[in-house]
Amino acid sequence: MTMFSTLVGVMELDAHTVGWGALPALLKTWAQDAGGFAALGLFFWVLYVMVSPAPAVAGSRQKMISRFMAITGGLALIAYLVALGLTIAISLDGERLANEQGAGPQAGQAAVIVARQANKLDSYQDTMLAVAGVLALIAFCEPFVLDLLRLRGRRVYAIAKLSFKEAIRRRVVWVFFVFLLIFMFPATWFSLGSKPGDALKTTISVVSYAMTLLLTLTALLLSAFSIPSDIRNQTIHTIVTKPVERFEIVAGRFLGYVGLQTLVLFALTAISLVFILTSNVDRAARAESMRARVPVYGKLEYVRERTEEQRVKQQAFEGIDVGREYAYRKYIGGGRLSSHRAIWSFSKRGQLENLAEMPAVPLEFAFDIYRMTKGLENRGVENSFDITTWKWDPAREAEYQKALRTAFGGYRNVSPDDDQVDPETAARNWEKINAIAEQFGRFEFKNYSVFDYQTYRLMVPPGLLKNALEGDPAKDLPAGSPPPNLIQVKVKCESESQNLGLAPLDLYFLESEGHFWINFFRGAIGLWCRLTIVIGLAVAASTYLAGVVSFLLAFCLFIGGSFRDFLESLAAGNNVGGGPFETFTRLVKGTTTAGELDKTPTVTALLRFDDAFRWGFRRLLNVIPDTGRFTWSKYLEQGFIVDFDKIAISMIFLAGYMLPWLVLAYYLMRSREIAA
Amino acid sequence: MAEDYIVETRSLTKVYRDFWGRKKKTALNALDLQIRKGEIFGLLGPNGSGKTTTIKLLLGLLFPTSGEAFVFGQPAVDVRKNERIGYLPEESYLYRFLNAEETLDFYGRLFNMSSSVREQRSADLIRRVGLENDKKRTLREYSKGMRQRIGLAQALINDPELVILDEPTSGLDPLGTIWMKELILDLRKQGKTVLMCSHRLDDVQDVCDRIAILYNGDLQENGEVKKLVEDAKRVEMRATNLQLTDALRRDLESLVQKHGGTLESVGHPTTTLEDLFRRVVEESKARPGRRFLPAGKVKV
Repeated sequence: MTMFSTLVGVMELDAHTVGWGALPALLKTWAQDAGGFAALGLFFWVLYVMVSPAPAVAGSRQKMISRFMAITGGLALIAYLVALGLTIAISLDGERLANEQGAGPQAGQAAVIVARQANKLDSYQDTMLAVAGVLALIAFCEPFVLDLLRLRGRRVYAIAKLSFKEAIRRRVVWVFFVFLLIFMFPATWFSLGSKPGDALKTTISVVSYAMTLLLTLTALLLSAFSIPSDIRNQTIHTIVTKPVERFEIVAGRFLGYVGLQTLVLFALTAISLVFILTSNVDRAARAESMRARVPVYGKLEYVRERTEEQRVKQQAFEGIDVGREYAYRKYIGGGRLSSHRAIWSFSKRGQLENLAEMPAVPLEFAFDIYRMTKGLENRGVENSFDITTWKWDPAREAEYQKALRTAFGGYRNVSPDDDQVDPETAARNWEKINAIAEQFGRFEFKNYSVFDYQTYRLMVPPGLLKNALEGDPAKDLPAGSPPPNLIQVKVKCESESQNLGLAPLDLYFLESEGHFWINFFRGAIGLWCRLTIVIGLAVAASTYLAGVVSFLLAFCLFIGGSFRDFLESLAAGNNVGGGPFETFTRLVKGTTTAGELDKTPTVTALLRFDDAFRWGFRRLLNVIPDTGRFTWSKYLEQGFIVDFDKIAISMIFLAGYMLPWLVLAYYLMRSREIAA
Repeated sequence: MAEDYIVETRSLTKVYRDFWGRKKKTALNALDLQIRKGEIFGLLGPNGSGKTTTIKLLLGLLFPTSGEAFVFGQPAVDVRKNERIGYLPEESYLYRFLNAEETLDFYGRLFNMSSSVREQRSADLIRRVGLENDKKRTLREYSKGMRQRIGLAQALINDPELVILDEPTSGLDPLGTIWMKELILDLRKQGKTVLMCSHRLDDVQDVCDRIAILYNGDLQENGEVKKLVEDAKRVEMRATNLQLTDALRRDLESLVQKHGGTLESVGHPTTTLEDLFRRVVEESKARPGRRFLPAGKVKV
């Protein structure tokens, strides 16, 4: 058994974790949302072409609204009308169900829809919205895509290089040297008030914040004022009177500043890394945080087992909400007789195959503790681990216990580095437990004492994994069995009146470790993504707005991204107190947020306004960047690898967010009178 | 549109409006204009007459309110026409943190020129505009005249067929003005078409083949310079090796009266100030040193 001094605490990253499997659904949602904006854009474009005299001079209106655009746009309109029809049908279906269930006429519409089960109509509506969105996107992006073919790398490069030189020669990059001031202070100064073991974590955090603040502000200033400044100084006149596509100016500016920020970010990351590697931080912190763990995660569920004898009969429950702000982590109640369990299931054979080759498989975990009583002094909360494979048969319990008695004279916690016995005995014990685990598909470790905000490691015999990997559960299990998981790790809190908080990424098998310095550079990619967003937003806004307004708009959107979780709760109506109209009603009526509002016709009408507000807010939410998704410094602080999948998926998110802005910039720039 | 028209406008109108779409000013009103290949065409008019607006409409910097504008037969808003155009704005709006070489390299790239072509063109143009010794200095260190020269160089980087010059002699000293006018005439010799606007009438008269005069957005006059400035009611005679005597004056008077005219004046012609300035500078270059001495002083 190994216990690390201090480390990881609670991972807060998991809320943003998205795997490849979720992408198709996300893509569909993106098509619906971006398609909605494209349809709106298409409407305004048609209006502009019809009203503005410029198209007449440009040759013809047909050039600005091609036949392809008209046909695809028309199809999108038909699809949207069908989706509208389906929405009405769903609404009528909901009302019919409500009437059948005897709901009163005063019941709110929202409640009716929530009560209604999703059926084929919803599926058709969802699909039709996606189809309409895709058609609108194709129609709106057609001129953009065609003009992209006319872009020339040499021209874009020229403007990018100009932006680069401008920033350098106007000495903007000197601002970055302010960053170096941070390194004039010892690293330990940054870890004020924290444990020595957290020194590195705090240092990484401070460096990360400083870099984010400095680079983001500089990127904003550079990119928001570039095109407006060109227009104000009329330098743009000598550019647009050359055979330059308007979007080449946008692309050039964007790429120039992204290139500059990339170089500066690389340099600052290298300086930070040298600073961290050479700073005199606590040995334990260095040994813990200066790592790049490659974890194998499982799927977490909370269950309730009525009795020990009825282990098979598990009842799912959602865990206890202890009222902590971060509701993502749920708790299980402790105590010998507690029926609460947290179960992690591991089903990916490929990942487990690598683990099975190890002499001992590390299982790491970091739990949160919510104490109902003070507990015993200097004693942690005790937890038991029961790790089983799909082959474990509860009917062989007696046989399993007998094998343990034969090997150890009864149950015993076994680990390869057991300090209770001499190394040779520990090695022999490990071989024995490995053989038992391989034979039965079960390994137990009882009363593991844990403290808050610390990461622990439990060594699992590889025989258990070999047992899990032998055979194929899909073929070997009887027909009708529930979907098999190769391995299950069941955690029970043994301490009375203590609650154990667990989140999906709190427990994992440690597959391998990467290099810290490579991981540090990978972590910087997250900041790079955020800078790209800032630059893209500011450049896109500056194609139409003045520099200061572009700066403020991009800044507000970016800052809005930091509060996205809260904004999402407002948009979804999950926040305490409801929407603005409900809040207003509560204020007037003097009803607390916990109290029920009387469903009078007035209140029902006001709640409808809240629905409309939420709908509008959800649209607004689409333009606010999800900056939290690109904040990876926590991974570095806590010594986890920023893996390739995460980077690749984040790049897809980045592209998905930036694409509509770039198309908007294209249209704004195209329709702008440069000399007006 | 006739093939030899490089520029043509039909009822071209530009109305400036405020944010709410209310009319602020009619900058150009139903302009009909044709510019033929190989001519130097001047747009004349006082400030605010619509000269620069016309040029901006032809370059696609502004969109017309009504009417049409074509350059090389293509709509004015089509960027592809810019391949064949060179443009020198009124003020040389260039990036002042670049030096002359970098400036021309940048604009050369915008024409998608290869590196070797850019280098050669840049070197030729820098030599042509007389900035060889200053090509490594950033433009912020340049005088206004130097900036105008590098501005012209950028306008010629693509060896354009149509050169549009907005107040080309603005800010230039007399020598610079002469140099610019010679260059414009040289462009015509090369078969290029030049459209220039200016309110320096002497410059326009010296170089332009045809002119259009705008006032308050309306076209007031359009035609060949020679014909427009010709005074058909008057006759000018010049003679050499003659002494201006009273007898000569009387004889001339009777001769003119005999043909039904009236003699207005007889005298010695004067040269232009420009010719005088040019001669003095050229002589000073040939023989450096002070030329003018106050009365009573003797040159040593």
